[in-house]
Amino acid sequence: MKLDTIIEKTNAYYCLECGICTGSCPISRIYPKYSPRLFVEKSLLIAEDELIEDSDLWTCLTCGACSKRCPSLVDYQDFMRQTRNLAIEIDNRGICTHAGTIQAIASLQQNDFVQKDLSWISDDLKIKETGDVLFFVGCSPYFNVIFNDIGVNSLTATKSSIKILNALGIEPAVRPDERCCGHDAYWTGELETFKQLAKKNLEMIQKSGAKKVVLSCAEGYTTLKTVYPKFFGKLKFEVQHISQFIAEKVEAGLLSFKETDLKVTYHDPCRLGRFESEYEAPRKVLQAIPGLELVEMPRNRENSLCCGSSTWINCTQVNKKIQVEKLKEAQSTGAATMITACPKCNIHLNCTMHDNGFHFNVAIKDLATMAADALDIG
Amino acid sequence: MPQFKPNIIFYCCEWNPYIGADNAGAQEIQYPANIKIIPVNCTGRITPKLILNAFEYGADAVLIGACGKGECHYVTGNKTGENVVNETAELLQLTGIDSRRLGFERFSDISGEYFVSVVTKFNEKITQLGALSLKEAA
Repeated sequence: MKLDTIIEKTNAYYCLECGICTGSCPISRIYPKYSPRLFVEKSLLIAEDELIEDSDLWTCLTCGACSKRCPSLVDYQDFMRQTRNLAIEIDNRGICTHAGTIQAIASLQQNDFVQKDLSWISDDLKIKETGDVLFFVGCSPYFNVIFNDIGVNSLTATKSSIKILNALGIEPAVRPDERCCGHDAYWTGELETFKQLAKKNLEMIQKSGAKKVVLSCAEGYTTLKTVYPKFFGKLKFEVQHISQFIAEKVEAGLLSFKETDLKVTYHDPCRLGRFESEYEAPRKVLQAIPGLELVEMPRNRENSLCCGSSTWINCTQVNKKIQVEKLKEAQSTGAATMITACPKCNIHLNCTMHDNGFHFNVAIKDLATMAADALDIG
Repeated sequence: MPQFKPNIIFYCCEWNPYIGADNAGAQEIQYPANIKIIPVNCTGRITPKLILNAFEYGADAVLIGACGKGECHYVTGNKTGENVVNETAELLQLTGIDSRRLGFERFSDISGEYFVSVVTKFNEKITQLGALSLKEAA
């Protein structure tokens, strides 16, 4: 796709140069050289080559804070994503974090394997091979290995989600032939990798016979729900984030929780909040827990500050400063725990806590873990 | 049918293990030619990506050769290397690749004979495991 087409498709022509985007951008506030407005202007005024050679293409978090406020409805994160497709053709790539391990896993998963290991599923969790409800595990078993050293146990949220499904009498299908959803490949311009992974996942879901796919990951949720149909047409199944699933069951009176005296705050992940406009379901889940006090951060819902890093590229001092800002904001509410609905927010924020010697008075917990811990069984 | 020769990538530390390889060459001791040695400054520089990519691009097995305990030229590089190998072995197991295909060996002995004995033993183990197929249907 040429830059002209990208400009047309993302409404970039309508840019008013008002600068609301740059004023909203969490990166620009700390690193003023990067400016979303300047990027759009550059695309309209200068030669294409100069734009796609810019290494700051990879600085964007694609958090969508700018697009949400743009009066001209410029789809800035999609503009960045598609410009990245052009950039990788001339080998302008982002700097992979964690030595490119996560990208290497996604790339390896394009192949067909004999069997993916499901040995992490403990005996108390009941799963099946096929069924009406499929639980999409995602990358958490891998994250569990990679981020063990910073004390993040990514599988806890995954196991908690399955535990909640079991408590409702549902034995979800969990498939060994499941792959990475392709979210990172899609947002970093690796479209071929993305298509391969998506195709294999759709085949896998078809084989399982599932009518509903539940995920505990916000990124996987938006990828399956919104991105897959763009490439492969209408989905034959329903996609739900675990927060929506629990909220639905709570409303129907099928789930009840134990009393707790925790004070928590909720962090809206960009993929669930700004991308999919799901602000209420996670809050409904938290409010359904008796005794739990939910306090909002000054910036919440569509104004929520990003967790500071995305797609495992370009994690610099700028990103770390955003994360510190986020943690300070959470701390200012006086809540003991910040709840998030995305495993990656959990990892990024925990990483900053680790770097800062854990001097923040706030713990980070996944929504599914919170709900499973408060579950009133029997 | 010709005998199966596995494609083995050997990330080899430039210090003890590579001196061993050099000695094997000087002493003209033969070792299996299907082992492809890639010298690295230190096993501490190995990343999971290097190992995973080797498998993706067609290796049947990957061997990492480090210096003996307490003998690292960069103090703790071999310990870092070992941690990375252990982590990658877990990742391989999750992706469906037998973690026995990833080997880690320490070389305190820099003699040519020791080097040849280690790589020959690893080669035999992988020959028994057979070729790694990334194309097999799930």
